[in-house]
Amino acid sequence: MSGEEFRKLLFLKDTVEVDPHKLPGTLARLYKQHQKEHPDSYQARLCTHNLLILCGSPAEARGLDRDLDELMQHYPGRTVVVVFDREHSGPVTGLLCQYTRKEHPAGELIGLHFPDDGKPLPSMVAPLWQDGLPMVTIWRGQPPYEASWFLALVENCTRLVVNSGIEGGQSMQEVIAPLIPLRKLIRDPYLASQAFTDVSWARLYVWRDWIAGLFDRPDRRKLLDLVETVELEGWSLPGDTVPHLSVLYLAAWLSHQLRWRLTQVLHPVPGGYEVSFEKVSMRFYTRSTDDEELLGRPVRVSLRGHCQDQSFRLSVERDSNNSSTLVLGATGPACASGASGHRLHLERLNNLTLMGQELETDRRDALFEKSLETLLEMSGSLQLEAV
Amino acid sequence: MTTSTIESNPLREGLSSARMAEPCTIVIFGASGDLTERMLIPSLFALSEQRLVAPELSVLGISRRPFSDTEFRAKVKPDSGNATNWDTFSRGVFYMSGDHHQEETYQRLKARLEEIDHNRGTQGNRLFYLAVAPDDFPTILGFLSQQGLLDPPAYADPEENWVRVILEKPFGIDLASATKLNKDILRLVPESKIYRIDHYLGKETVQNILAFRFANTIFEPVWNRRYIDHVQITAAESLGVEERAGYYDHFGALKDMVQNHLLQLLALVAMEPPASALDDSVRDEKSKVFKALRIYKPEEVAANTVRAQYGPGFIDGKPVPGYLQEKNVSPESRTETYAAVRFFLDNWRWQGVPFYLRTGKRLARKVTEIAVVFKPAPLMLFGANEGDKLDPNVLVLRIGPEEGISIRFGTKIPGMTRRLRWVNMDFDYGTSFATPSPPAYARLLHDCMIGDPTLYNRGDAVELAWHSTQPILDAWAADKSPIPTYEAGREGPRQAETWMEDEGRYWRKL
Repeated sequence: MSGEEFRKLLFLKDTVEVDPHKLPGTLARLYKQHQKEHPDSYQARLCTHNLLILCGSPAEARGLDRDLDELMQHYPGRTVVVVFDREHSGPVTGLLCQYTRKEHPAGELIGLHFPDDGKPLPSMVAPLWQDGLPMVTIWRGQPPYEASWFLALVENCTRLVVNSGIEGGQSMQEVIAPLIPLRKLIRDPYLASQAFTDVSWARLYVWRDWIAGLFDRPDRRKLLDLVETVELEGWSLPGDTVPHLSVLYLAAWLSHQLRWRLTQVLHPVPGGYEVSFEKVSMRFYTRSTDDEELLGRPVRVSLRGHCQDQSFRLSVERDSNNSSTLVLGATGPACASGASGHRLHLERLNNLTLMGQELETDRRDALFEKSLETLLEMSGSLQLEAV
Repeated sequence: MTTSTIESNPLREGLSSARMAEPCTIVIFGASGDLTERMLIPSLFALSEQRLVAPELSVLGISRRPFSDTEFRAKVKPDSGNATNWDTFSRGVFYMSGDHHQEETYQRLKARLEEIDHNRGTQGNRLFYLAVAPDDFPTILGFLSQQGLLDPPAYADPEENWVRVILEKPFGIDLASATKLNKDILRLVPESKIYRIDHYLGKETVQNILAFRFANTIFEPVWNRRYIDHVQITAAESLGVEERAGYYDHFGALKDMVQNHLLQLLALVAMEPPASALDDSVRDEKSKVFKALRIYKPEEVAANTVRAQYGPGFIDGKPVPGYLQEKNVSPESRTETYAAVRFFLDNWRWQGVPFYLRTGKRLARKVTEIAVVFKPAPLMLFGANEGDKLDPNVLVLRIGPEEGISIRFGTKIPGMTRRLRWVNMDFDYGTSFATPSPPAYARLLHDCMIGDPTLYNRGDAVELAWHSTQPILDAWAADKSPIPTYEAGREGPRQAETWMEDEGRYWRKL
């Protein structure tokens, strides 16, 4: 990737070339220059965070330019993006772009084009962090969990965000595999003050909200104990029958919150996968799509059961014709209501929203960690690990 | 509060939208008015788009004008929002033509509400929104009570389901009317079901006063008479009376702004820390502030107040008429368009600290802010000459138009001299948060639906606020001397400036 291609990958605004090894001094000089150019404005600097985004390859940085530009407008802070490029020979190169809001300096976007692995990275970025502000590290691809320099970065950040579901998988083992090193990291006693997020989990927030919304009515709450089957469907590539990690996380969350006791781990059945609990069985289906943006996202969650000899069904579904419309369905006892067939247009959760969400979260997400444990248990991976 | 029922949903754990309101029917009296179209329906629709209300939410508008459900939906349809979402939301919007002075209307209302409960699953939860003249409050509540509509219906669960009433301001036009209104209403509905709305309290930055004071320990130690010289609360507008001239000419600046909005701000600035943010503690503390407000004797009013009317002038370079030349204003009107009042709180924290409240129309700029002016440092260490006075520190809570917080403090100018320069440390909401603030009405309607009255006025507080303003109204009514004027587009009347200067203080520039 050439220098010009690198610039285009990350920046929509004008940039200046900087020496990556002299960044702190350059930033201080630019700040002073800004003060000189705006002598009448308040000498205030708006910053809420430090953000480090690591891309394992140029391909993983694709689409970042627009997201970053918007992010910088919405969240004032310093962002460093590192793109590893094995085809790049020579030293690390750097580009810088400044952002202002109402004449106040409101962050810098710094891009570093890295030729090799990240050994020198912790020492390069450490002096850049603005003191006292949280530091969020986002890894776009599969992180090098075992690399010592990666651990050094994690030790110095307040939150690590990964996306374990980014590559999908042909088998259940492949889907679950990235969770094992993540779990290890979360349980590492030396990283007890760090928080962790998996994007495959984070993007479920709205789904959890919708499913919870089905049971906000107190009279519906009793149905939770009477659920017999749960069907979960998610988008996947044509031919794929293995559920995406996000759908599995959703199932794990549901079973954990409702305290269902596992009786049979995830196993293939005709048309999909199944996991059984003492009173409930969960079935997983896939729906084909070529739309990359939809891949891995849930489509439908239905809960069925019986109450006083009447069957009931509560469901949340994203309209199959229009993926941005939510349809709530409810039939059976406590369900004859204005909520049946309730349709709501929703904006798709984009990468910017997800990144912003992480910048606004400042502590460990116990629910995520419990859901991760439950999912590993559901998949049988914990038993295998113990063996 | 009913929030507990939502929170007991095990699937809500870890979700910040735990405050989703339960299904209910909102009955709007005076539904053909401007407020329904401009504020109430757009706010409810916005809440629905954000999934902060249950899908079952239903709205039933009532007024004399004949509309079908379809016509009413078309009339109140907001300009913005998604079409699919409006189709979904508007399926729960209904209309009933009826005279709220007639018993027959309430018989039909009862049947209609039962039908809505049955068809839409609103479970007997009802919110009556009285967007009518305050004189009509007791009439409407009397009929509702007669029909048993102020309690959940027989088929509802009396423990879980609820009925609440929102009363739109003004709450009385003076102390006597407010007291009578309270008495008449409380005979029919307990205070726990009444929500007196003041949209000012729904503004994000007004709520942030509580967060600023009680979530940050650094300010509390200096938040008292020992360190604070005075407080200025300003609500200035560059607009004139516009279409409200008829209403405004009977009210004036004191009743329109000071008695309600500005005194609410004063209470938030001056109150003691509440024991909890979830129960009635905040309102208890605000009432204590109103109780401590010094009530002026008639002869003290002139020294503690300034009133004035705007004359012709220029706004944004364009000529504008004076108040007496405005349409629908009597040429002999003595209504004030500018009011400044110095209040004192007789309690330990604030004894001797003046709270200057000022409001006016056709002033230089639109600005609403609270400025806490601290006492100067006791000893002058820096300055060109011995005896120079130091400027005080000022903490400004900006409520509009650019919401934020700034602190003014002195710093040494680099160099060999010991001179200071005053700088502002500035926090701006718009630049620091990506999320826009919800409209005030949306926040308040949502609070009512989840049973949180914190941002609503309680009856005792309303009466207490009138107690402190009534003597001013009486003294002004008795004083027949000419009312001072100020040129439109300026800072206000000269009298207000000299009034402050005589005390060695000055108004903050608008």
